[in-house]
Amino acid sequence: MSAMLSDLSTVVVLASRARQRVRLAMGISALALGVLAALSIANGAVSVPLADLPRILFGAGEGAERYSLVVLNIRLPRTILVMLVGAALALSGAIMQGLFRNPLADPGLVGVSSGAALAAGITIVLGDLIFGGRAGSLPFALLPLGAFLGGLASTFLLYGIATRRGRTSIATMLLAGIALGALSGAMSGFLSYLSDDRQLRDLTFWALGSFAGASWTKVSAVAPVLFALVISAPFLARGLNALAIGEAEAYHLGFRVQIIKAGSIVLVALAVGVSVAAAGVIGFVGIVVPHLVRLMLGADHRTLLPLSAMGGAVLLIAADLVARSVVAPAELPIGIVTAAMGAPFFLWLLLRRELGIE
Amino acid sequence: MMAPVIEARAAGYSVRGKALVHAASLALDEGRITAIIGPNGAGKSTFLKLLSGELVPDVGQIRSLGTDIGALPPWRLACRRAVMAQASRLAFPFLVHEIVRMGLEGYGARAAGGFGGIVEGALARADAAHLAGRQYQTLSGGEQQRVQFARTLCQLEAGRRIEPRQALLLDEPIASLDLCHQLALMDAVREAAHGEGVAVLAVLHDLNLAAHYADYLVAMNGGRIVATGVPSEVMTPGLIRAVFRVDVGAMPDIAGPAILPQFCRRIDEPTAA
Ligand SMILES: Nc1ncnc2c1ncn2[C@@H]1O[C@H](COP(=O)(O)OP(=O)(O)OP(=O)(O)O)[C@@H](O)[C@H]1O
Ligand SMILES: [Mg+2]
Repeated sequence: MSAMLSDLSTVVVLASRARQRVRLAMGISALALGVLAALSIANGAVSVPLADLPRILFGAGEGAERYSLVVLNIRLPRTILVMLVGAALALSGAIMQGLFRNPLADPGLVGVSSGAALAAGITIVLGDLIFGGRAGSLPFALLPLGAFLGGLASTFLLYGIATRRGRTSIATMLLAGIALGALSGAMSGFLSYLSDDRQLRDLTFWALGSFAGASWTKVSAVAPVLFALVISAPFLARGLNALAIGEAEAYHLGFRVQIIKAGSIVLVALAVGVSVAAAGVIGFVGIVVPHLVRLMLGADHRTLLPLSAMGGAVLLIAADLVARSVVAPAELPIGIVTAAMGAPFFLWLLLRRELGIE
Repeated sequence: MMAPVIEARAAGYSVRGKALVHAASLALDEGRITAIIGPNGAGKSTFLKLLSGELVPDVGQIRSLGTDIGALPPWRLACRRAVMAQASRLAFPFLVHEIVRMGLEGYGARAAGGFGGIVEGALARADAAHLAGRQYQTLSGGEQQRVQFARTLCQLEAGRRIEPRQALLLDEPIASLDLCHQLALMDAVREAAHGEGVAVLAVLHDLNLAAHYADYLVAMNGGRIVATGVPSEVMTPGLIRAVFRVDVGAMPDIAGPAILPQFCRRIDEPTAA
């Protein structure tokens, strides 16, 4: 008995309390995700009775055929795509913040997403030139690849500019991010003068973000990347924890710092690239979600990464519901909704002045 | 003769043609506290970074148990030596016990299981047990330093199962500690060296503490090791004058009180929670 009591030491109690909080948060976000997904499938131009959903999704019964086409071909892929992209964006935000050792890093904010969008734009215009502009001739797989390379190039450039001797200057990072974003924007704008009407529509789509074109093809492009991200996150998490004390310290603790950094950059670029290819530029998810998770559950990346993924899915599916309902039957680009929610949040973060900005 | 845990062989380091450390040689012996003294900019931290493997020497070699330190995988090295840097800043709101636990994260997967109590023991030895649940960023400078010290103790304790011969490198570990905690931390360091056989290297600015605790003293100036030996041989008024440009020896002619701590009579009461 006394041995058991001494085992219940402060550290053990603290750790088990933290695990309880994490389980609770996991449960709550899974619940929210389920409810929001059901709403997302049911709502729209044709509204599907919630009570019929199980029958439509898990084998058609009578009366289900009426809705099954719209649910299975339009609503379901869209809902899944939104969740995947939300998870990928929040996860890449959390990883990027760990890499830059700063809570203000966000792929959208520091130009990585616009770099990816620019590369996607170039892929569209060049791809049409190469493939002769025949409608539908551009293989969809080229877009994520292009966007990934664009995201990779931007992240490398940004990291190279903002980080000297293992220290990232947050001011340099944000300013370089603005410059990179503006440059990508200018080049994307220039591209729009070279493009025809269909290409132009696509380019606008990259700039503001939208899930209107969701399809099973896009889901099948995003899903493997998110899967890879989720698989590698636990390995990355311990390294990012150590990196938070410092780059030298992480090495002293036994981590291969260069591998952690390179892995983070590639994963962020992958996640951002494939998200941008599937849904365009969607900002602020990557900054809002990890920050809220840190506020509620602490900084440990082993909980931060999975819960950010969950939270990102929840947040984006809510944003998509808003985007579809405010001006129904038309819909807003989702980037507008996330910016409208995220920008004030970002300002609030700045006002709290707890970020150690110099 | 066994090769030392960590050893510098004529190791030099320069930045843009300027030598910060000139061909320095030093072997860290197990069970012994080696202290480095020297003025600001003498190259003490740079030398310590060479010994830890953080910097790679331009000339010469850093060896650990006979192997070049660059050839060892980081996790192996982490089992063999722990490092406390002069200053470190934390990026995110981690809790104290999470920071200390990181001491066993680097190779946790390779030595899984049986780490219970190590975190707690390390916190207690650094007199930081009462801080376990606090957010690191809200601690005072001295409290943060004690937590970092606990992290290194935790790393050594966990790594000992894989690498029984170990070193502890401390860069100004007591710089922001109060008098009582300076003594307490140095006592814990002495316990690690004399009790557990760890080879300790500490950069110290307090010459009295260096003389009292060090078994072996190294004086650096201008990137060179200028004197080595037991404290009574090295810490002479002549050397102090040459290295620090301060006259010492006679009773100083000062008006205020002069504090001479009674090293052996530290009142050992843990800090209240
Ligand atoms: N990256 C660098 N580039 C140029 N000079 C450097 C660099 N790092 C250190 N120095 C210089 O090398 C010298 C030795 O630095 P080091 O940090 O080793 O000194 P130190 O003995 O630890 O001093 P202190 O007592 O102030 O901690 C200093 O003059 C410092 O300005
Ligand atoms: Mg120094």
